[in-house]
Amino acid sequence: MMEVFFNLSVNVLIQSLIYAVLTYGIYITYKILDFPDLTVDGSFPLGAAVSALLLVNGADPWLTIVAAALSGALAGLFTGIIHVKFKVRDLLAGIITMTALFSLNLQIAGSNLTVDRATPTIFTSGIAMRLFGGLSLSLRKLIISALIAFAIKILLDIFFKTKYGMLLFAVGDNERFVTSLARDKGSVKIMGLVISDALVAISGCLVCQEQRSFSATMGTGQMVFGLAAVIIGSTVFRKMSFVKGTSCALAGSLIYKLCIQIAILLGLPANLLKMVTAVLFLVILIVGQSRTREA
Amino acid sequence: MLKMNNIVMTYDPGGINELCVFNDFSFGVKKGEFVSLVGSNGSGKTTLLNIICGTLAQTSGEVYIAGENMSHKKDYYRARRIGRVLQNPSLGTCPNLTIAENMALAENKGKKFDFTFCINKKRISAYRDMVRELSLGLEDKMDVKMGSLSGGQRQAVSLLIATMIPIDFLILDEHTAALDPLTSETIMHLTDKTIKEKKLTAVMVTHNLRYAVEYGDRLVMMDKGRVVMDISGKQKQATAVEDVLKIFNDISIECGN
Repeated sequence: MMEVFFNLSVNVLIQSLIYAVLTYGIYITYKILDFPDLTVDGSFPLGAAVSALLLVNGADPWLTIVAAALSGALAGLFTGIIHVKFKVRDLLAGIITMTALFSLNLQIAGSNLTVDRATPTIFTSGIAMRLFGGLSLSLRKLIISALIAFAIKILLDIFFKTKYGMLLFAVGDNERFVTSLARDKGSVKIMGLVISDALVAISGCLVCQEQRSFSATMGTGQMVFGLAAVIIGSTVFRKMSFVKGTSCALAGSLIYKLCIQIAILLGLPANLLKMVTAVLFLVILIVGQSRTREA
Repeated sequence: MLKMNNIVMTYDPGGINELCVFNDFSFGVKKGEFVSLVGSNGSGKTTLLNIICGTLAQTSGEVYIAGENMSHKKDYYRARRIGRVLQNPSLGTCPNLTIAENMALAENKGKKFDFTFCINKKRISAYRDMVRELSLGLEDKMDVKMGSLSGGQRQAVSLLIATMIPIDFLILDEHTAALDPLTSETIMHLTDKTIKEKKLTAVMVTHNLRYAVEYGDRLVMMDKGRVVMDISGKQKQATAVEDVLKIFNDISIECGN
């Protein structure tokens, strides 16, 4: 009984760490840029499709992360250009890219692609085995995903303190201010989307390596998950302004995945998962709003 | 400093709402001049400022700033030479960033926004000294978010930020209109001090005729896209608020208001 519980907890931690990378991306678009980016539902499986294809063809598993990031960056660039240069509304720009990516993902990896057990992933090869080879697979997964999630978090925290990073906050806060700084607000927005969707695709790549499979439908609802996680995180820590946005996103991811795991343990059929996600998201939004009204 | 030649500005040309604001309008401002611009609503003051800043593209005509032809340049390109303070105090800064962060961004205007740290700890005391000059007690609030300051405080910081790095041209777009009379007086005083100390060329749009008469060294009144009054130097000093008000009323009556 204890062992089952332990394994489940480790699994929840792995999931929340891997998906935290996606929530960082959503934090950038939703919280910083104030841009509801629906590209996510397409760029997440794009990262997974690219890495599945590369893994099956024997590419280095760490290199697939780079490839996934680049593919996601391109997706973000696409949405950004549609929105900024062709003045298409933010939601629609994301939907267009997302829809196009669905077909592209099918082209890359078909509707399903399984990475067999013999194929090395970041959790079962190279540096992971050299450093943590003595540990069980799940503990190894936990350590590697924690290292990646925290490394990206620290990099982002540093980036947000740089001149360019601060400009991202400024463009979401007051576009005119960015213009008055003699900077093109459009290109700053595009850059934000590029970084965000690169992170989302990295998350998709990690999920693919962890579960050893890609499916064309794995992107559905990821945007809502990410939004929910970011909003949960910032609601929990709203009184503590010193907590960084990335930390809120990470915590939100953990709380969300924990709730879902508990729902499954209580006997929730897997088919109802998205319904629960939607209801949970609605509750969070309503609770979040009533709290801000009181404040 | 500023030259506008033969500006034509037509909104919705050829459409049913076609509106010609300027027809062959020319205007100039000399270096170091502080111009007060008055006129009733719809006289073209704001359109004029928007054409100077590149927020609106003129239908035809040319705009020169400090000798550079800016007629077809983007707004953010022109912003290198122009500082602007708007009517709405929350538009001059970023409400979710602190005073120090806003100032650090402003100080970097016209330079590269790269991956070096935005806030240089050594500069904080210099920022604090600049804020102390405002005499609003903000020097102890450098890490407070702009959004939690009052309208007057925000407008004072906006003015400071707009003039933080050397600019050719300061544009004040009814920047005291949203403030209470006392605060508005403080900001106006501060504006005058800033313009004199930094030797700026400035254009101020205002609905307050007293400010227009008391401050600045040139007074321009606009009506229906034309300059109807343009006085400076001794002539301006000899002009009282009542004189300006009379002309202003005469125009309005002509319009049937």
